[in-house]
Amino acid sequence: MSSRGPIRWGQLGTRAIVYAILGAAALGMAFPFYWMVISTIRPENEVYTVALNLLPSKMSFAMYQKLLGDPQLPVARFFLNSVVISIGATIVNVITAVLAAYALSRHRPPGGTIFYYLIIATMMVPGEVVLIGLFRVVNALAMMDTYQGMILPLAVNAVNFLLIYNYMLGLPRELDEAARVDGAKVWQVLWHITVPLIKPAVYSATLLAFLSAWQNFTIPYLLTQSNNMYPLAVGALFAENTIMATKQEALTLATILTIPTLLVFVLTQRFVFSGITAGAIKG
Amino acid sequence: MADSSSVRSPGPTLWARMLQERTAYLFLAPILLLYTIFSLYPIIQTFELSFFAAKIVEQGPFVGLKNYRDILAAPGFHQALGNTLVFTAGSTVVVLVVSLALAVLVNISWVRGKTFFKVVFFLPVVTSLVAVGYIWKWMMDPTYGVINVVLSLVGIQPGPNWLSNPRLALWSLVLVNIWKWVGYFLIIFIANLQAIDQSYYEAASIDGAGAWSQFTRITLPLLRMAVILTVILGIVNFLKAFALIFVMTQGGPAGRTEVMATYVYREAFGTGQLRFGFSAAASMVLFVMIMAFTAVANRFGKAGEVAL
Repeated sequence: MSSRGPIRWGQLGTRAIVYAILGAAALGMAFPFYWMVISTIRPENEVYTVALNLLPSKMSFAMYQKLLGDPQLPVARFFLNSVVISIGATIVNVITAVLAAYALSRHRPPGGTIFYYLIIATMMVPGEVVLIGLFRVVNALAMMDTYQGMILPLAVNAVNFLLIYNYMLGLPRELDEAARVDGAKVWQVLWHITVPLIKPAVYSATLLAFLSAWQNFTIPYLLTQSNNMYPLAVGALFAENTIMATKQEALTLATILTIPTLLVFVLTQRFVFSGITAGAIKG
Repeated sequence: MADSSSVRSPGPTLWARMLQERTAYLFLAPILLLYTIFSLYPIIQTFELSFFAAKIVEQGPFVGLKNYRDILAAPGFHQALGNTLVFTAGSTVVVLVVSLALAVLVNISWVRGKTFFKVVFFLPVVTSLVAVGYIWKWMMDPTYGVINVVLSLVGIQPGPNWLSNPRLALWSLVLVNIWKWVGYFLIIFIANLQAIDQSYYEAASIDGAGAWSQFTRITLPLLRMAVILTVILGIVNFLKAFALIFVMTQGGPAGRTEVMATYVYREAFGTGQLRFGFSAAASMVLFVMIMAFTAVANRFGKAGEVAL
């Protein structure tokens, strides 16, 4: 498969075919995004035409202006809710994961194995499976329709704990043991010695936690009742089902919902990819 | 893993060790509290409720296995179970083949723009399923949707009713699900491909093996574990599918796209009957299915890869 020496015609043909396949696949992946965005910035009458117009006749951001000024549909509030919920869930998820990973990988307290498996066991219980139990628990805690009622369930994500835990296991213990001997407190060792060493894993975990919390629909849908508390994902569905938004309005909401995660991902793809593939290599 | 150290030394007693490690317990407390309250306890509660005629916050009377007998007798449950299996199997097989093929192509040494392709293929993975649902619902619109418009340009008119044709709707959802997840598996495959020692290929080239036989004789056998892992990951992920279906078809037409998770939701919240006990029993069936596949995944030593 490698090329040495002058390129032969047969090789050129192979290359053309490979690039054609990859190009077509990339187009198939990217086109729906293009079509979504383009449908939101063309004049409304042009959206509903049975013709293939790959470019809008003129750009119009009227739909964005309309949505942002719609009293029935507090889009700015939805956006703020999404930000609060996903950042809150990210912080809680990553901090609890770092603390637990440190305790289990460095201290090995009695009962540690049981705790490890308790944490891991939550991966078998995705939100979609415990809708009823979760609804009742959050209700009993009087957290229905509150930020904490969404942040705390969304902060349960044991994959990030494992990511950080496995990364810590791969680091030498001598450094923090030396610091302990020098009389440093446990939390000082964690903050000044361990955390700087595990930065790559923490970056990855933070990004993965944020991306998955922002995308999550099921948990906030289940646990909110008033439209002031909806994150964007729920607000978009509310717009369609309750106030009968047009296709263009729905797509505009979808665009507003999509752009933040795409932007975060494109800017940080290296950490996202390394987080996903950490430990996924099986020879 | 944290084990064995408690029995290793006869020195300090268990109590003394636990006291000595009190900071470690303090560090473990937040995650244990959080995960117990919002994940482990809810599944226990769901299990418990599945034996009661429960409605929302009322526990209701104990009914033994009645809820389980009821779901087994409910045609809607059978339909949802069947649809879930078709959706899961169809998505898993195609995602696997497409992502592996694309990963092999991206990984060819002379292919330029590797990062570009990886990023583009991954875009749907970081896109909310609600947005994914809207985009595709719009593209699959029978009249104004771009897919049918393009089909009409090549003479296929009228185009199919992608989401309202009872025989097609589930497969349309499978297609969208594949689009959403190919990039995720592609990234895992590329990482595994890069871990393969290049000298195998060099030796095979010298022996005159072509690209296809290199793929079947070297790449595939070495990727065996990654393929198994991916299959399980896909199954576990697709069994619990909810948002995509909920947004795109709401289970319709006539229940033809109802899956386990949407069925559970509808029976509990969607019909106005609030049959929490019945719905909890259906949840437990889904949970057992997911647990079984996760257990298989753990046998292959990869607990950490079964989610996103």
